[in-house]
Amino acid sequence: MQTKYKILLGILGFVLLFVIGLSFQKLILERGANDTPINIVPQDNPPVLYNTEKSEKLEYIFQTRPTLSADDKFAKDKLIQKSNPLYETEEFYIEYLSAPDEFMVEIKSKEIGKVKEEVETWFVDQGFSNDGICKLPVVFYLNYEVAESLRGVDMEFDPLPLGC
Amino acid sequence: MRRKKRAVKKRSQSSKLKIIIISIVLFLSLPLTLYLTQNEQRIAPRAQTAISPTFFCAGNCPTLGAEPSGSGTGISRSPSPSSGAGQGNVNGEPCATDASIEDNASENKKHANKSGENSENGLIAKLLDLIKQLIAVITGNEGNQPRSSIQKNDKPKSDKPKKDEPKKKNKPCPSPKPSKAQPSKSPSTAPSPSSAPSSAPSSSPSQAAPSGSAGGPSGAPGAVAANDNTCSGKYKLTNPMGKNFGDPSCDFDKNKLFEQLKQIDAANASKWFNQVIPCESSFNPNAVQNPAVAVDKAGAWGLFQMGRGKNGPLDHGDVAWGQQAANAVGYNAKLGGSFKYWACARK
Repeated sequence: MQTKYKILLGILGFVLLFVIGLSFQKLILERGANDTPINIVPQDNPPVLYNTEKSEKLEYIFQTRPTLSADDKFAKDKLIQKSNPLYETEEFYIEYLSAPDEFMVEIKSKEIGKVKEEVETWFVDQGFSNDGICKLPVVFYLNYEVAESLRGVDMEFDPLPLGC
Repeated sequence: MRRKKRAVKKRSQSSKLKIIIISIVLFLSLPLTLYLTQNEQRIAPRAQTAISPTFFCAGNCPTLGAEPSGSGTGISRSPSPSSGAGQGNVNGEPCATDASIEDNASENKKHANKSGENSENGLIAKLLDLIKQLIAVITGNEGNQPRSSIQKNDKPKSDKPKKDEPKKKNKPCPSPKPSKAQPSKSPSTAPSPSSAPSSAPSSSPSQAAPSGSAGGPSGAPGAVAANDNTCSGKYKLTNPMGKNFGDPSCDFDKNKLFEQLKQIDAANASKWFNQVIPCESSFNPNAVQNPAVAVDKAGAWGLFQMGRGKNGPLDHGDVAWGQQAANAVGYNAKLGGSFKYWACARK
């Protein structure tokens, strides 16, 4: 009787172990299938952070597309007929991107304020008003090497033109 | 009298012990079995998609259904996690059908009307039967309980005629098991949007499987691996790989990138384009942050400054730019669209 009892216990134990093993296997497989990220901490350490408020304002302009004045619209229509680069110097590069419908300026100098002024002067020369420049929109970004050279500097970059 | 009393006491003690053991076993095994059954229900559909002809057989598997419309273009729109395994038959040759696929398929057909269980569910049923029998044996019905239920359940598997098994051909399809068809296990075969960014698939993570350190969007038609091309001096290949991994075809274009982002993540396309990418990489698909300053010791790579797989198969920036975009969008989707990964997009 006792031997039989032991055998039964053994079988039960085996069945239990089997079920537990199977469930663990399923758990592991499911985890793999879900491809859950292990670590969601930001992996990058960008050289220069962009100003959040200004970035949000840019996003707002991009999404709402404020109406341009007749003069600004005329200037824009004329300018976008040209091929890229619209204008380039050693310190900046201006282009029009048709897909997002925006003007983008790469700043290739550490003198960010001075470059922005020059770019805005150029846009005014093309027939835009200051208000129109803000509404186009014109988006500034730092050249990769320039940004890297500014790593560690306590600053936030504003992607919008001055006064916007 | 004393002996009799002792014997009675012993018997009652042993029967109590039996009852306790049985209840413990039942208590432990039933929830687990229930959990397993639920698990099966969740995983089973995935197994069905895993044997989809699009991915394993390029539509030429003789026993399976119709080919989805997207497969002919090399751009798969199916969200199946097994999409990365579609390299087997780019030439459209009929593929070998693994015996186990057809076994399961035929078994499913056979039992679809009866129980709807696949082989693993059958195993659970067997286990339940076994437990029931054991209970019956322990509670004193030993010998009376017929063993036919176990034998009945065993039959379909053990009595399966081997001559009916399909012959294996020389060119096997990738494994049909869902566990092996995960994007992470097939890193070099995912279709890359970089070869056709304008028609990139939705942000399904499975579509965004990286090509690992190989760099190029291998697996896609016309794919170009990482190479030494500086694209007429446009890129300085000073990254640890020493290769042009981000734009090996020299076809990177901001307009194309925006179009792709609009297709795979329309709601956040401008955020990626105007906020994340300029800040992270200044639109340089070959940008690599020095591992010394990067949080991830493998460095931060590409337009979105992602890693080299630390956080899974989507965390790869060391691939061509189209794939970089797909990986970033796919990974952000995994994070619930929070942009937590990117310092440039956090508030």
